[in-house]
Amino acid sequence: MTQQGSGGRLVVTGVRKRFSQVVALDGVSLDFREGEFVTLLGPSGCGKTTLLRIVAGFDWPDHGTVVLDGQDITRLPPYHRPVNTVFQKPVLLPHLDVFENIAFGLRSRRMPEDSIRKTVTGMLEVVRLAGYERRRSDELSGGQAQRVNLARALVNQPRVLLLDEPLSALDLQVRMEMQAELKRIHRETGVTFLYVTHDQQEAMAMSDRIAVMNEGMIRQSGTPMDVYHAPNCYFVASFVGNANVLPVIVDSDHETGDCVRVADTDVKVRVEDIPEDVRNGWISMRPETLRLTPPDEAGIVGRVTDRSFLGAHVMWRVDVGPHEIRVQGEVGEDGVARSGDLVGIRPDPRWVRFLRD
Amino acid sequence: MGRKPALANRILAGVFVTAVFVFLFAPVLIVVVFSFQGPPRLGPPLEDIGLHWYRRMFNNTVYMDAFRNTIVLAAISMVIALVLGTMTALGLRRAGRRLGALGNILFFMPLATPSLFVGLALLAYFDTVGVPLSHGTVAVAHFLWVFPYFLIVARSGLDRLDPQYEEVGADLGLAPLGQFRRIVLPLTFPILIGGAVLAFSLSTDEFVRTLFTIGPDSTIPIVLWGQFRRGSDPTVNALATILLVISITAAIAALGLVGARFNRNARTSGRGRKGVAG
Repeated sequence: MTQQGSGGRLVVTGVRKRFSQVVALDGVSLDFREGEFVTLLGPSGCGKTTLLRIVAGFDWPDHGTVVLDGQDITRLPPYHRPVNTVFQKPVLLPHLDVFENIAFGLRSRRMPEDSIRKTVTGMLEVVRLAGYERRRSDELSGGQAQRVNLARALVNQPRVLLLDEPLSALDLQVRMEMQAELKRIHRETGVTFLYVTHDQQEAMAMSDRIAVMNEGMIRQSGTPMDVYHAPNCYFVASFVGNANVLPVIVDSDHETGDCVRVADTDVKVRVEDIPEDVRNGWISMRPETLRLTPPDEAGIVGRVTDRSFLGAHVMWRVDVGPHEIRVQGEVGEDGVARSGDLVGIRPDPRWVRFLRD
Repeated sequence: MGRKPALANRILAGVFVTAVFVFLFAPVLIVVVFSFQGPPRLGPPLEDIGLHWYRRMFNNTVYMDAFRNTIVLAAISMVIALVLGTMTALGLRRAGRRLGALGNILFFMPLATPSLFVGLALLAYFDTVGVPLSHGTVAVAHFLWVFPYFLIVARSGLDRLDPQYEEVGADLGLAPLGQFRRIVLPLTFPILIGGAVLAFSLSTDEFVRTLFTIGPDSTIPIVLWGQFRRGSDPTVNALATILLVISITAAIAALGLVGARFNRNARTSGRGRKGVAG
């Protein structure tokens, strides 16, 4: 079932979509390389599912084009597109068993019976459901049903596989297992994946590239590392991960390196790469890049309001003026400070990002 | 509220329910019993049990013609209602909320219109347009009568069908007609059949509209009405019994089909949700 490099090249250009009063997509352009695993990440209502449905053909854009392998498919109905969808709910056809559900697309394309048998059997191996051919959809667990859903789409050898939050209804444990499965299947089939989710852990764990969406626009598109460590705007910094995003004012008289002052405080933080003409903006600091120190050894001083034990690490909440900064420590560091203590916070300048908007 | 009054209430309720059932079914039972009576009388006492009245019925060309007309009419109006009603229900399912509500009002209004008015109106209309009364004109009247009922049943089934099933079909390469044939129909046909059986039985005993629009021909209800105006003929007991057997069989079959599907769907969705959650 291994078919390296069978993924399609998908180019979405300037797509706009409006549903009566609501603008769902406000000029989205995105380029998918052959065999790439791209995740659309964003809160509900950001337009990510609308973009998926436009690529699938269930909705047509008001403006813009969808081009697959050089062919304009913007106005092609879904049943003529070489793409398949893994729906959020499995929606298995209740009158058919597992085998017939997976064979459904092949039958609509009138594939000969012996090829259907071979292809479906092979696909059952890929999704690890061999022996489940004659089960009915109500005899499957949630994870199994979602595997059938995946197999039913993948068996048609789509150029692009669209996955609409396929794991959101599953238990944590099954979800983790399925993430690994999806990565393996992506690697083995080489199909281009367009994955939609609001779960950043999922996006980080699986994607080659993440496109962070909000209010119908793509805010940032890059590798999971880029998006996590080098957010380009307030929204991405605060949506992805658990960053401390603070409003800052740029000081004009920087003596050593670029310096900003956190709004409504006297706290100054060193930041690299501040654009010339900018007066104010935001800084983003990941909790795990901050260290607690005695109060007289750091530029940022505040009082601990809460300490939570999170298993692998410990998290302090520290009030600094009107702002709250979260600091993450390793196991064993939880004795460093407790609620009520006055502490210093030392940021690592390499991980402090300046954001214009 | 102690136990004893509750028990007394239950006995009382049992008696009451039994009385209602006796009241409902005794007349029917009497008809069935006396259809097997020997000649020549209609009422008690029951004597000479046999199939005398059945033989007479089958040899009576008036009855047999009326019987054939009734069945043909019911079949025609059922098939037209089945086809047009299914299409209408599919259309209303995709219509917006406002259009759907308007559709409801317009399509279900005939149910609230007295049959006398409808019969008269149809008669006047056919007369104005110059269409002579025939099987065709009664068929139109019957179709108008059974269509809303079929539509109610069809919509109850189709509206409950998750539209995502059709998206799955489209995604897997099926054009709209294929989606209907291979997904919508297999998932809803028991309900559509149930609606069709209901339409059929409503047509067989329609009287007022039929009387206005049938012209020289007759259906069973028309013949029976004429018969009783001239005095009672025990043959009607046999006829009524046969109609009763047909309609009960059809009703049970339809209920069985629809009920089986409802139960399966309920089970499927219930288990499906549980499966997803756990």
